[in-house]
Amino acid sequence: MSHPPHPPPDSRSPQGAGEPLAALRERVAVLERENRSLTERSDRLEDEVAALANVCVAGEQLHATLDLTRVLGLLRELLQQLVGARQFVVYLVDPQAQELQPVVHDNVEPTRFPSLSLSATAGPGAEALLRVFARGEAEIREGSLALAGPLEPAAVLPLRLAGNVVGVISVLCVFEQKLAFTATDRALFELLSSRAAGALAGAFLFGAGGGAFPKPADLLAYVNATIASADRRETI
Amino acid sequence: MSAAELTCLVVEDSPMMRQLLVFALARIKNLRVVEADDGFDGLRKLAAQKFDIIVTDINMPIMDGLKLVKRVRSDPAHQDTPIVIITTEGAKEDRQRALALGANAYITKPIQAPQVIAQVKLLLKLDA
Repeated sequence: MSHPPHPPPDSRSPQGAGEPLAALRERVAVLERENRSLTERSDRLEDEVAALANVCVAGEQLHATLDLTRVLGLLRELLQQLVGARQFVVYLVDPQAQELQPVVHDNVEPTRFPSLSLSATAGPGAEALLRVFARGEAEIREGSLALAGPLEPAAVLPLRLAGNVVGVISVLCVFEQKLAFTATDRALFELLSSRAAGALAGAFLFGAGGGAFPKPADLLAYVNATIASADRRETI
Repeated sequence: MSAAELTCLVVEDSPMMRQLLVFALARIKNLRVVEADDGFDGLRKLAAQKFDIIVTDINMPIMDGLKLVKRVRSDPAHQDTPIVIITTEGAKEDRQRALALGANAYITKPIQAPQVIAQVKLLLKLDA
């Protein structure tokens, strides 16, 4: 069955023809703008969800093990696979020797990154590390990361533990496709600064305790004793 | 294509990356994700059921992603299953080899969830 063609929009009222058509066009334009705005908002939300997922997963994984080798491996994985760091060095402070000692590194020649004295004059590339260690504030490169390297690291992060800075992470350079650090990277950097040293300390305590989990009866006795002690303190 | 019965096999040895991939893929409606620790574990799971798509890392212990792609493509039961490989930037040869062996697409680390979702949806011919 064939239908007659639709009459043109202005055929019914030749005199006011322009008005309904213009109104319709305006309405379509408004809807298109709204649609674009909603799509952009949805994309932003998707990015935020992805960022949150990265931070949650990284945080959960960092504390999922008490094995020191595994914690160091996770640190490496997090920097490489979530942040996109191609070369990095993790330093811990040696308070006796007064130096920052490299403990984990990737894709770097270890001899090029020796321990850094906290008291001596810093050489090129080391100023940022010593500054971050002293101040406890991260230095993260803004904008393009193309020129980042050993002399000008892409990011230097403090490793904080119980209010003290116990080391630094130096991200020397990143993978080619990584053009700039994003809000997700900054959130991951903050997570590393505040949690990585805690994960290392947890692994240290576990290792120092013989690498064995407490027996359930010992755990119960310890928890009860701690609660009783806290109650006594409150009573006093 | 209806998404009601779709299944995806994620093969990745790193628990962190696996968790991220699963989290990203869980955002695709009605897509059930099954996890495998390495290529060998992946093959075991492929022997037990048919998947609509496979997302696999390349560098893994026991059996790497390249061997997995080769084995999957030589098995008539999974010959047409789309495969997405996850590679690092420096592994261009691995990427080319995987594509030559029959992988359909690749994603470079560090992975972005929206990119993973878009690639899987594209291969499953799901609406964006």
